[in-house]
Amino acid sequence: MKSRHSLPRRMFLRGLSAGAAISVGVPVLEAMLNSTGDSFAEDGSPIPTRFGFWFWGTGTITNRWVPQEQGQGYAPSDALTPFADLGVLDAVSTATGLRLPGDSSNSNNHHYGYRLARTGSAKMVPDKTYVQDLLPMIWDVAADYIAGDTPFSVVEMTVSRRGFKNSKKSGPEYSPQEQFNLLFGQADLDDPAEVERLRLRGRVVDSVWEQAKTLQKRVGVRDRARLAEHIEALSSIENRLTNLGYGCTVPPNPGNDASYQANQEPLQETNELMADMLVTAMACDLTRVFRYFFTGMQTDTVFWQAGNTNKGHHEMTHDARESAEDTDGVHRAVKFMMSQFAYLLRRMRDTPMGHGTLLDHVSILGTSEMGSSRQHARPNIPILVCGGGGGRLKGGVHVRFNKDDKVNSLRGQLTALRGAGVDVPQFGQLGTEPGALDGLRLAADTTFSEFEV
Amino acid sequence: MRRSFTSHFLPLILLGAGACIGNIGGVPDGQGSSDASEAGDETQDDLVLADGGLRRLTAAEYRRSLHVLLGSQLDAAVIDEAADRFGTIETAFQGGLSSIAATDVGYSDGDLVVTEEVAAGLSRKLFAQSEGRVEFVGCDPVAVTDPCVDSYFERLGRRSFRRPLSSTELGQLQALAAEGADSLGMWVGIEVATAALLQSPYFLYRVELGADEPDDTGMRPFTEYEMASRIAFFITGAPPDDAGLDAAEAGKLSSEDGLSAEVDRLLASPSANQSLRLFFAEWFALDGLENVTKDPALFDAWTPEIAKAMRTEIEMLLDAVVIEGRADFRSLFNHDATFLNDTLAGLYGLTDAYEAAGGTDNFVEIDLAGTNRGGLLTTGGMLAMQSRETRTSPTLRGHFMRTMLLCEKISDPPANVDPFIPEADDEDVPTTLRDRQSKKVADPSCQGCHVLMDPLGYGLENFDAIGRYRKLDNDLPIDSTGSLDGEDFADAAGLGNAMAKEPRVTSCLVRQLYRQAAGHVDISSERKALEAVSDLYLTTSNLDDVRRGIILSQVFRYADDLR
Repeated sequence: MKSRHSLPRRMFLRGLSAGAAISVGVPVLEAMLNSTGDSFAEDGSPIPTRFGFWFWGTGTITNRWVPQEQGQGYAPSDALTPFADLGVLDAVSTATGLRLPGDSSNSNNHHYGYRLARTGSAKMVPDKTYVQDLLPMIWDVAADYIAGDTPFSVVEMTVSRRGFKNSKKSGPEYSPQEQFNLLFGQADLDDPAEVERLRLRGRVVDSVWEQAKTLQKRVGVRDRARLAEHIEALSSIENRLTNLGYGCTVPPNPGNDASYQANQEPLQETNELMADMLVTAMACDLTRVFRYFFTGMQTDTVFWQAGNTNKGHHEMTHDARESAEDTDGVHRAVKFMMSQFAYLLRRMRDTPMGHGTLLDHVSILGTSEMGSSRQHARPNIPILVCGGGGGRLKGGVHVRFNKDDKVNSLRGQLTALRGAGVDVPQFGQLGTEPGALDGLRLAADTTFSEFEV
Repeated sequence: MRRSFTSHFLPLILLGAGACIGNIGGVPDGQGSSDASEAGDETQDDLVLADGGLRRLTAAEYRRSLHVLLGSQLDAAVIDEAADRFGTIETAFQGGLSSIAATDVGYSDGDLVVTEEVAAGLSRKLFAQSEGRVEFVGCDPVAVTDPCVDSYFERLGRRSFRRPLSSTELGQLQALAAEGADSLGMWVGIEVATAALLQSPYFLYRVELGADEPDDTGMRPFTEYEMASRIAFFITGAPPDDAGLDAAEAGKLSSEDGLSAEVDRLLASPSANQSLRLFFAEWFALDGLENVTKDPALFDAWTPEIAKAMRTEIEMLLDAVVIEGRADFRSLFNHDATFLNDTLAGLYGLTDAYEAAGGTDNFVEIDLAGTNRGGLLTTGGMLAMQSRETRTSPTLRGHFMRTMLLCEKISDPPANVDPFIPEADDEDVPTTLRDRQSKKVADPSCQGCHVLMDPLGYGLENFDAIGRYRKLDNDLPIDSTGSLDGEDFADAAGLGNAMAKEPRVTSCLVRQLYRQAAGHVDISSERKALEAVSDLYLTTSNLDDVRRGIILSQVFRYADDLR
């Protein structure tokens, strides 16, 4: 097996670090950690810690999100009651009053917040015609540290297929059936001929990979970048096809996907199928990193299972600005999504691992691209840090910050990474001017090279 | 950087509204490919060409390719089921045409998982049964080393890559076939090599880099095979057939005569009109109709069935007037007939006319002369899509006309703007939407753009958010007067007449078709070349002339150096 995974991206970062780009770190949320400062409690067990990124689009209704009480053992706000209902609130910490960093001149808060939440930077590779994030995704950062030799460096799942306006998404990320095939294989692994066919498919991908490398030499800058991603994806497909030795109890096949109805997606059913597969994949150590989107950013998912029968979520958040009814609707959708998040955490708690459960060995960040749904604004970004982090995380803490202090919400990202044992010194890089970080205690300036393993 | 997706304002607009410069509506910051900063190339006299490069297959092109390559052996339903798994490209931020998006974006990881599984799955089906496989391969081989297997690889490879295989590529297929044959038999060997063709980057990307050397014009032409691909996908929506590849092989596509003959051959194929239908559907975003939602408390008549019927109305209208009818595209805007079923006729208040025309529940053509309706802009589908959930939107309607039908540019609203039109300030004094809208955008910082959009949209105020005719808004008479850049009109019919004689509509049609053909938003030097095509269309009203004119133009046949 050639070792190709994610090389291009890392080489790219190394290239940047030779230049003048400087990144600015943010501190962790110390109250959530089991001990203060940078010294973490020792894991004390050989069980690896997992990292997850759980995302939903278009924020929350802030005054129904923020719990009244602070500290450990806080009483949940209405939006967070689903965690208490399923008995996992003690593994859910939240930080409130945090704000996405940067100035307010960007015209689209969705994309800005989305990029920051995932990469820590709103910046793009400086080529006007090709959209590519400047920094790696948070899950790729985590995978570089903790994925090890697991067959899936990152498992990607999204519950709602509906995108902005009318767009519809496809592929294993969105399809329980295809995700099942991807994770657990569609072939009968007891049949040597089927196993050989999978090996041959890997050989085919390898030859196609060679062709893509050849083609890459002939094309312009923009297409080279496009093919670099293509090549990386092929490596990962080949890796899966040729690494089928995992001995794991395969969950039931979810069967054919329900036919797509834009306004009546089976959100809860899909969430449960995806979450069940994810829990198995982690329990069997098929993967140690996941990114789970309940929706993408700015989606018009119709939350009919939360009582919002006829209106896309994004449109409803705008209408909520002048409608109490739509404000209730947005809140119901948020609370519904938290109940779906709670389902995943509950399933993790029900999965024994070592002396505890899988939930004790994960660190999951839950967040969105904006704070208030109604304002589409940067303050009051929702931050949840869930799981025991192999002893690194306290769990069940509410930390409240004063909104006016403009404390950087990316501290949540860093905290969740550190909770998973991803000892990056920092997360992300802000706009062009350090002044955007007014009011923050800054870590020493560091360069991109410190992102590398 | 020469490659540019700039779509420029007309000078008129620049003078009239200096404030309204920026992104195409809906293009978020840093996303997509709009760029208003290159107005400077407006003054260039040299022929500036767009770069060559890679274009991924759109979902429709991928589907058609699989049918063309495998349709002789596999059922259409089997191929469609496989192609259904492939995602569509998100075009919302790319000017609506998937062809443009296909130049900008690559394949997602999920797409590639799907293409691998589809290639493996369909190849397995091709050779699983003895029935038909000998015909598909073209011989009954005894081993993968049989020369006739090589012929099969070369034949399917040429169709898949849209050019002959190189000897290296043939060697790769032979090696894979040998490996498969070694472990699981000859047919699995052939299957494995076939799967390699169906997921190769040379299949999944249209490689259009241009020739290595300039020709006698001093410019770099696209190669013969690249041209075969460019014109086949543009005219038929499918890869070149064997005859098209033969024409390329014979060197016929670099001469104007040879190219013209090939274009005529393709224009005569049944797919030529089908690809126009796909083009118009993308341009007018008709796929969006099925997901339009309306507030049921206000519009209980809005159902998925009626949305579907509205799409059919627009498609039939396009067919009758432009695609089959070959009338001037602009006559769509004041055409005085349309196609309705009983539900739609009921919604439009035209049940009597519908029954008089012999309709029962089917679609029939209805004469609209003397009614309050007529032309594309007054179809329910257009009116409902360019409205909000609870009300009409003169701004959305005007924005659509400016950006999509006149190919102008309107910048995004500033981030800090409150986009909501207030309800009446004083409940005792009723107001129309137009009253509140005009007041809301009276601020000079809003006017820069709204003065371009709202006066067009006001012309359609007699049609509510699902396209029903109305005389009153909030119990007050509707003022539907407006103006298209100085051409005043009294109502929707006047607006339609103004659009029908507007030359910018014609040039926009040509530009949109060029974008479809070239996969990028036209740059200014290209636009100059397209003016001649627009002029031709003004005299012949024949879309075939537009497609031929685009293909024969230098800007379509030559590429700039790669960056």
